[in-house]
Amino acid sequence: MRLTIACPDALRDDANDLAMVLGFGPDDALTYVALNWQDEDGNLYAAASLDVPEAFTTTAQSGLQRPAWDTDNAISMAAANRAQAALVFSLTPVTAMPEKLTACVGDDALATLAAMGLVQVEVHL
Amino acid sequence: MRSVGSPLDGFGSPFGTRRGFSPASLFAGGTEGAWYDPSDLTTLFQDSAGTTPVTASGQPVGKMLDKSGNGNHAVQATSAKRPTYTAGSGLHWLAFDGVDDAIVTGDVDFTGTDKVSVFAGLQANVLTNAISMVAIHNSTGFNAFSLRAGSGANGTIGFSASSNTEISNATESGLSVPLLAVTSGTSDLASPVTTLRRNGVVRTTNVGPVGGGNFAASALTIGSDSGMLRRFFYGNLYGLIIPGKLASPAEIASTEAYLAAKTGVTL
Repeated sequence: MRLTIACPDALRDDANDLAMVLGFGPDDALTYVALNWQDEDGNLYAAASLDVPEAFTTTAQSGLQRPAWDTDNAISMAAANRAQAALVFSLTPVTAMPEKLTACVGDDALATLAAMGLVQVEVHL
Repeated sequence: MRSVGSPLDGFGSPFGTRRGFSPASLFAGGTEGAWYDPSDLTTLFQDSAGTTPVTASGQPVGKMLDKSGNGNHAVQATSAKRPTYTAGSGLHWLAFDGVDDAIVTGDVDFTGTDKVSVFAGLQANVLTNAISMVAIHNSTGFNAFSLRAGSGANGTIGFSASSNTEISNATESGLSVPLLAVTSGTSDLASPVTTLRRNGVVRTTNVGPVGGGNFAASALTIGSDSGMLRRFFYGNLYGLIIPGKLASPAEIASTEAYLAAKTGVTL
């Protein structure tokens, strides 16, 4: 299933630590980068979208363990746990919130973000 | 800049497909560039290190090998940003989600040429007024080119090239989605002329960009703007071929016919 996640600016660092825990390596620290989505109140979000197995939602909400590859303690497990505590899973789109990491299921990622109340904004390089 | 017509507007190519044509011939003699073929599973890997091959539809693509012989392999190290290999009805493609998917090469050195041709078999799922990059080489300034779907207005695709001083964007508008097409762009900075073709037909020819110069040595980004921060492509990529030269009419016809078969398009 496809999961689309809206990450508010304030949670980006924590969410990238969580992405490293749930992902595959240090490069997953770049999962949430560009703040190119905005809610109706002007709050900015980074977005990610990926296909995940059904078990992912359970894994993501279970106790977190430092991955075996992270022998240098690159991951802040405290940050990853903060992001996990802010995680909201939904099988249907719900409104993105600036204090939550909102993850919604939907085949069309752009349609899911729109249903979460987000519009795309241009990032200037 | 003005838009000019071509005597070939509205006509398909008279050359047809050469028997046994391979896009590899576009890179003969050391022509710089890249050729990506999602139908060739030997070129696709799930991880960016290239250790885990793609074996089934639905798997992520972290590395895609360049078949041009130039070694311009494309990678995506961040797992959430990998496009998805998908197969169905005898076709094979990379699906880009329009949110964060992109795959990028190291520097592709086009500093030895002022000419380029870009061929893509694609399906665009949205063509909004936002710019969306199918592929771009160097967005940091001039001496660049990009193939776009959309291209700044609803229902528009485009091929953009820039010289030392000016950008020329050849566009076609009035298109609806999903748009399944073989799109091609050619640019000669010396002439100068920039042309957009779709499904074997010239759609727009621009005089420009003026200013001369050669193209840059820069990363080729597939699925978003350079830097992978914005302008994400939402759709399918069935093949992408970019020789650093102006393809001949016969080469254009053969390459478009090749990609049409890969894309499921009848020219």
